[in-house]
Amino acid sequence: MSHLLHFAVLIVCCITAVRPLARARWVQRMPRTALALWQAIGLTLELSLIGLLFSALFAPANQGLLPGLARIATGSVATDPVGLLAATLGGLLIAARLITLAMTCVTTARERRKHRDLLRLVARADPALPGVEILDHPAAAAYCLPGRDSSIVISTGALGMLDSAHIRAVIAHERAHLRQRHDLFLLPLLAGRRLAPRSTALSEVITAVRLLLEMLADDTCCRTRSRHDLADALTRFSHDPSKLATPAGGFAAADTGLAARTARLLAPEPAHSAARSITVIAVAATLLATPLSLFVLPI
Amino acid sequence: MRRSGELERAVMDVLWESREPRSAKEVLAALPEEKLAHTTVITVLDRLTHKGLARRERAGRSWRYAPAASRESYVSSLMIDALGRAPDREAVLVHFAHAMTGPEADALRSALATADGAGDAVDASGAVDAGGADNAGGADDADEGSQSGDTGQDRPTS
Repeated sequence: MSHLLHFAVLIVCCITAVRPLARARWVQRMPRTALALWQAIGLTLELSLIGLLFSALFAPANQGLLPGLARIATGSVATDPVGLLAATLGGLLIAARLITLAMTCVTTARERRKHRDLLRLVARADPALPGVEILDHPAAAAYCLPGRDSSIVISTGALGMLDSAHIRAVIAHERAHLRQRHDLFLLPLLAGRRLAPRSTALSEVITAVRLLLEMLADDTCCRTRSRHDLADALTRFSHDPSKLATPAGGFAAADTGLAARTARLLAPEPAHSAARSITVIAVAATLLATPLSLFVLPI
Repeated sequence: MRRSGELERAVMDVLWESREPRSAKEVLAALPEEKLAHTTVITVLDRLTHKGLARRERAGRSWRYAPAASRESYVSSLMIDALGRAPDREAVLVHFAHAMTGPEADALRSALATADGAGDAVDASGAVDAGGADNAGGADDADEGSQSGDTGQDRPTS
């Protein structure tokens, strides 16, 4: 029984942590650590869910999951129907997760390739801005296209409202996204939305993680560029803040994030003490280690 | 890869500059580069057609090629990608800021409802031109209206 209980407790812990963490402000002072915590929570939740479903098979023996599975495979233990049903559900859950993940990867790669094909035909290079594709369009847009053949794109509309210092800051920010592969961090979450399209909690998590990724890219950018240039560039993208407040589905917070990012750049709060970071890392590690150990150890 | 990309671009430039469909031979003649084989140009034209970027029609025993859409419409379809926030496409690219500003952005937003990729992008660019002039005054209303439409039905086929 104890395996079942452990997994259940872990799941409850993770789920109750989600909303407070998504709304927390202290995480903005340590985006990298907070992202590690998010990753630990996500993995723990999934592993525990799978563990819970499979552990019903082994509850009487109180073995670790993997030794238990091995014994079942060799046919040396009798199985009850409830346990089998739960284990089947667990198998289906794993399959569904993997399939949606693959689907998201494939569609994303296809859309990116389409975008890149067009970009190659119409974007132009500027010797003054190496590595940047320029789109001749009066609206302001700056973005990056992650992937193997990544690119940074800025429209002439955006170039027109930015000084060269701003532009360098924008490029450094986008480069941080590309180098640190922030798109890969988001991928499992976005794939999760295929399984739970209406989950408001998941939407909240995605918004929070997105904002943390932006802040991480901001921080990386500020190692080589001035905070004020980046903040100024952000402000110029949001010259009409009332529009940013317009809710657009679950993504409005991405825009309110613009204000949070600017404020954070202009008036940086002191970094958290090392002790606090270590505590968070320790919590994340403990969280993740628990289901993993339950997979192999008997209790 | 990069080489063939440059060639595609040069060929598309030729097609865009000419007013009527061109044969592969005419494209070859118009290309600034001299040492290209006729078959290379045909391969590139075929690839462009396959990708839906160019169209071709029979002219006697050979094909004549034309761009599937204007350069401007491709640019605006890219901008629509950059602006769009359809849930199934948010993994595709990463924005610097989730905002595009200016009257053209509002026009693009309203074009989101009708445009869907490169094929229909001709209409999108038309909408951009018309909307850019009209919307300059009442941009806020147009913006709100299309942002709420943005969430659900902007890309019916994707």
